[in-house]
Formats: sequence, structure tokens, C-alpha cells
Amino acid sequence: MAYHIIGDQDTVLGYRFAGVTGDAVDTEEEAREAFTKAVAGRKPGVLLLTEAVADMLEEEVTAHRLAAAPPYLAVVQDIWGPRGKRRSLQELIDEAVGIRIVRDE
Amino acid sequence: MSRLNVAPTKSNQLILKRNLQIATGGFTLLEQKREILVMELMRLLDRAKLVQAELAVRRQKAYATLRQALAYNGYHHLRNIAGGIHYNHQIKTSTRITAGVRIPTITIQHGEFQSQFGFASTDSLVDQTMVDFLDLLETAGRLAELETSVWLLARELKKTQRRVNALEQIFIPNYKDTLRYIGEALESKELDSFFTMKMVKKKLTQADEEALDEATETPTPDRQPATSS
Repeated sequence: MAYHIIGDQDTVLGYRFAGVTGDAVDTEEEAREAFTKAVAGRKPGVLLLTEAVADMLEEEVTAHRLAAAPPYLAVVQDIWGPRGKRRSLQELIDEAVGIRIVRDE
Repeated sequence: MSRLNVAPTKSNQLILKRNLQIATGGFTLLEQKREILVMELMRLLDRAKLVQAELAVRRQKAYATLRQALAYNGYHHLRNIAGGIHYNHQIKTSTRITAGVRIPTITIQHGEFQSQFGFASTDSLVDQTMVDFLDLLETAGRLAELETSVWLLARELKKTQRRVNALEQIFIPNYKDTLRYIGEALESKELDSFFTMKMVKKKLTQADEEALDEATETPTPDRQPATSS
């Protein structure tokens, strides 16, 4: 598994064209199940999540990010457009780690 | 003011002096590490921002193509086509070490674009979707690597910060205070013993003189009260 995606069926279909295996999920339970399964192996690879899935599994995703273990996460939009405002990487880190990185200029 | 609970002795003073030396040395090192981590984090965050921007551009392009393809061909038709697509993406991870943190580097070998479906009953949009998504995937992989590195560094930075603070605010002042206390205690003890010695010496010389007086001169009744005063 070099790449894997968890998301809604349309987005998964899109990535399917690039040879990415994927789980199409609709509900939170399905998403959690797919995520746990994808993470469990700790195999090196890139795990793509759509924003919807990342929002549903916020706790798990943050925990996995903090562990910084493979598979490495990347959050992508679903093809039907963005879901509101996203928090930036800095804000996410500030929340989870408690370190605010500000460039002093 | 807080000090450790140790007896004010010379050996404790020596031990504490060594501890203080180690703590200050560690403090300097950790401070340097913290600075390196901050610099590295800044660099990675800048790079992540660039990659994010690139990803946004590619994503918009790919998603627009896909939406169009979906509109023209329909979901089920596309799914049938996609079912036959197989790319062999190879992924290799290695680690590089920055400031004592193992940071993964991901190298991904992407499968090259190739037609994997019949020309009949597919249109150019399907081809385009495939090309666009391959591009997108490459960028997404790079972003995942960068973001993971940033998380790792942030975690390490937090740890280092905590250690620096502990040394700066607790350990080093504690050692300093205790050393000062031991120093004062030892000094006053020394003063005490010095004083006692003086007293003893004075008493001894006095006793000597009296003995001398008695030996050399025959005691006269009128001198006796003068020497004893």
C-alpha cells in the first residue's frame, strides 16, 4: 500500500484513476473502521483522508498525527468543494502540542 | 527561595557544585537544540505552505476534470473504467536525523502514465483525469512527508522547551540557593571554631603566664590581686 484513500465514493473514484486503493465511506462508523484498519499495519505509505472524514474522526486523526508514525496522513478536499474554513497546520499544532509558532517580524 | 534538603557539609557542597556545572552545561546545550528546532520548523512550515499552494492548484484542476468526466460519462461507467486501472507506486522511507529527531523521508516512485483502458467508449476527459490525478498524488505525497516532519519537530520542541524551563526555573536556582546556604553555614561554622580556638588559646596562654609568674617570682601578697584581674 503506497497510497490509500478514505473518503466519499466520488472522491475515491477520482483517486482510483491514479491507481490509489480506497475505501468509500458514508458514516462515521464506516470511516472509523476503515481508518483503524488502514493505520493498524503501520506500513509505510501515504494515507489520504477527505476533509469530511478528517472532521468525523478528529480525535483519532490528531492522535495519529501526534504519534507521527506511518502511514503518513494528508488531508485532501472532496471533489465537491471545500468544507468551510480549515485550520492551518500551525493552528492544529498549537492546539495539539501547545506550541505556537509565530514568525517574529 | 527554595533549597534542597541536604546537610550543610563540605562533601555535599562538592557534589552540588558538580551538579550545578552539569545542569548549566545541559541548559546551554538544550537551548541550542531548541533554537535549531525552531529554525528547522520555520523552514519546513514555509516549504509546507509552498507545497500546499501547489496542491491547491493541482487539486482544482484535477477535481474540475473529474467533475466534468463524471457529468459526461456517469459514475458507473467511470467506475467500470477505474476498476481496470492499476499503477505500481513504490514507496520507500528512510530517516534523517535533525537535532536528535528521526524525520522520515518518503521517496515514492510513481507509475508512469499509460493507457489502461480501451479507447472505445472512453473520451479524452478520462485520460485527462488520470494525468491530473497522478500529478495531484505526487504533491499530496510530498505534503504528507512535510506535515509529518513538522509534527515530529513540534513534539520534540515541546519536550525540549519543558526541559529548558525545568533547568532554568527549578534546578539551577535550587542548586544555587542550596550552595549559597551551605557556603554560609560552613563559614559561620568556621567562624565559630575559629572563635573557640581563640578562646582556648587565650585561656592556655593565660594559664601559662600564671604558671610562669608563680615559678619565677615569689608571690607577694600585694601582687596577687593584680594578676588575677
